Amino acid sequence: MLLSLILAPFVGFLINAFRFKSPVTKISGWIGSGACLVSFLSATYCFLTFNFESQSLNLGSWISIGNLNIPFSFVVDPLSLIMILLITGVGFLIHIYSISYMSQDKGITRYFAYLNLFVFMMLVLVLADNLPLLFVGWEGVGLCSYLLIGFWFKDSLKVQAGMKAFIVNRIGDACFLIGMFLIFAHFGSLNFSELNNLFLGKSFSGFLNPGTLGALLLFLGATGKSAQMPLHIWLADAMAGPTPVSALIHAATMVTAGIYMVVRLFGLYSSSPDLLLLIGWVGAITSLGAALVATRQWDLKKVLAYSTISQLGYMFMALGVKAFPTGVFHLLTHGFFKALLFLCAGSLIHGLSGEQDIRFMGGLKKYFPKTFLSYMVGALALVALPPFSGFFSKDEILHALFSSGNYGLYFIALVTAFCTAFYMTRLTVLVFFGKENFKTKPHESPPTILVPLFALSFFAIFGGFIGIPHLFSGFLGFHPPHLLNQFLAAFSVADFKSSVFTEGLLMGLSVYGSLIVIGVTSYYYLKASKESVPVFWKRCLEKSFYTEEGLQKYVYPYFSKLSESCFQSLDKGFFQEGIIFLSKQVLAVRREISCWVNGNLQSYALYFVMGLSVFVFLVFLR
Amino acid sequence: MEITTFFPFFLAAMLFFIGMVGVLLRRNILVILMSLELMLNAVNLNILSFSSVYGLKDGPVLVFFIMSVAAAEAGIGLALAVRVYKIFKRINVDSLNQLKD
Repeated sequence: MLLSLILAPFVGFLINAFRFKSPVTKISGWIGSGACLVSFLSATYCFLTFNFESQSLNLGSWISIGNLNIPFSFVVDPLSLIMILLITGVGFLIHIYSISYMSQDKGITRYFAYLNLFVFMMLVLVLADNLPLLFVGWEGVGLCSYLLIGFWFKDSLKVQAGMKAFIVNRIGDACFLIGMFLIFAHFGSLNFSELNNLFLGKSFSGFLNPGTLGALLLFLGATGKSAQMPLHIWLADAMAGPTPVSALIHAATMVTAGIYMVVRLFGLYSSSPDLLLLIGWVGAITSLGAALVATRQWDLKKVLAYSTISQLGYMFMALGVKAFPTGVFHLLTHGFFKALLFLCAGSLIHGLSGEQDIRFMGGLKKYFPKTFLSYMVGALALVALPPFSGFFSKDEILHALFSSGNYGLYFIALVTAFCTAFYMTRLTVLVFFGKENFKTKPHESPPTILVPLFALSFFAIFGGFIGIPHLFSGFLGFHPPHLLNQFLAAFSVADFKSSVFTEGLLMGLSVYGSLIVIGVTSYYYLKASKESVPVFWKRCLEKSFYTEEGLQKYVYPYFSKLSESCFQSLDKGFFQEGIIFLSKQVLAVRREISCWVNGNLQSYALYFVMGLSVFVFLVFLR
Repeated sequence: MEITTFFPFFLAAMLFFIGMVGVLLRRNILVILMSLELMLNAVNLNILSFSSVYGLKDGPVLVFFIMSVAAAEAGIGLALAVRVYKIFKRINVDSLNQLKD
């Protein structure tokens, strides 16, 4: 079952890859979706037959040198089960969606080949039981991300966005590799369960011990993949890809790989409290910054992209206070509602013939009634109003931050939640209400687009019920189990308890605060004609705090100088000159001895006899 | 007893050496082929002697195989010699140096 789970998307990829020039483009979408469906059914089977004993599948040895043994082995445990259900489930819906979204495109076969390859690589990533195999999937999803961002390769801007994503990720991946080497050099193992067992229960302070340093380097890799603070710059540009790709790769699955990796190595990370604090603060700063930037973006997809960065920051905050299951909870609900929001955005863009600027939308509610409904579900889940799924996970994160005593992190998370309410209300009002600014005649999308929207809406509404907070047992009359925490019990290392009063206060603060923000914002955008934000602040947010400009001014010149000098001294000076020198030596030797090769059969026979004599002498007569 | 055991090996070594010198020094392809046969049969003799010394039965069988293969190989060698003669009107190995450099 596990084999069909992993291999089905790969087979789909191979079929579509070998017929990518075929003129029959209609069936490629169904091939891709079928492969994903097989995978999803296998995942469901794995889930239903799961009895809390991790199953593993060993496909033989991959690398075996000295005491380094890396098998091709996959493992199914609660964490990877949640991930494979999310990946194949959301992946399948997005495949179905893509069939009509991409139907006008000539490269649809190529598109589905990439999409299937992505699902395969993502499954390798989450099922791998050791770091190098995870890294294979890690790089594989990076490759698919690059290919799909630059899918419309005739537009050089899109190709550049793809390259940017790839190169920024390379920086993180280099750190990831070094971290992996460091961990292997010091602890002699790269297997997840061995590493976790090695570190669980220990505690190292500071950063200068091999375990923490390795974990820090791995986390730097995660900041690249999950778009956190220093390396977040690629995700907004990644929106150049087709919208379903943004939904699947850059919202629901790939960008959460960093969070998955940290949770997977929860033993290693929970042994370094200082590093965890750093992770929490990186998440907090990213989260707040991205949420602020999202308030002033004009591109529909970029608002959602910055929102994704912000929510990923939320998950890292949860990880920072050791609330690993809670981070996974938010990963799951975020996967549903953010994919839903992106697909709604895609439906709007599709119906408006490619328009993405929200200044040229407005009043779309009556033209897109069904999309509007699903969009509202997604938006309310993102803003975290009960009973939508986002409420449960976000509330749990806020509660964990507060009750672990990190009030600074809690405060930032709360402000971020209000910012989220602000930018989502602004987006909703500008897109669906107000006056109509669009140029083309809008039309509601066909059923193949709407069905995935409804399916995801279902999960975005009810997905949160797997983690009902303790507080609700009061007015529900019975005590609902927190299913997710029970399921992920192996990954919880900390307990978050606080009094009913505190819990209720925190919940009320975030919910009523968000409601007030929504009310004020919608009044402001519906009634007020002009925005009265200071110009500098406005520019600053539109340019996303001038990160790009700052990097271009202060980092790129030095970096390119460094690369240039490396190129001149190492590449040209050492390797190229060295090779030329060597080849000249070889030529000189050749001139000396080429007279031996005279074309005479008998001299060759003589060399043969001489060589054989020397050999016989050395071996037998010594 | 000592001499009779030693003699066939000595004979085989001498035959092999004569064949080798023939291959290295003679220019005529036919003679070279004959010398090759001589070396081959020296090896055969060696095998037979060893198998009789150790009392093994499979030595002679192996030698039969080698002889039949050698017959086939001699056929190919002679055919090549005929082609060489038809092309160069001579039958010396010196003419077979077209592939150098």
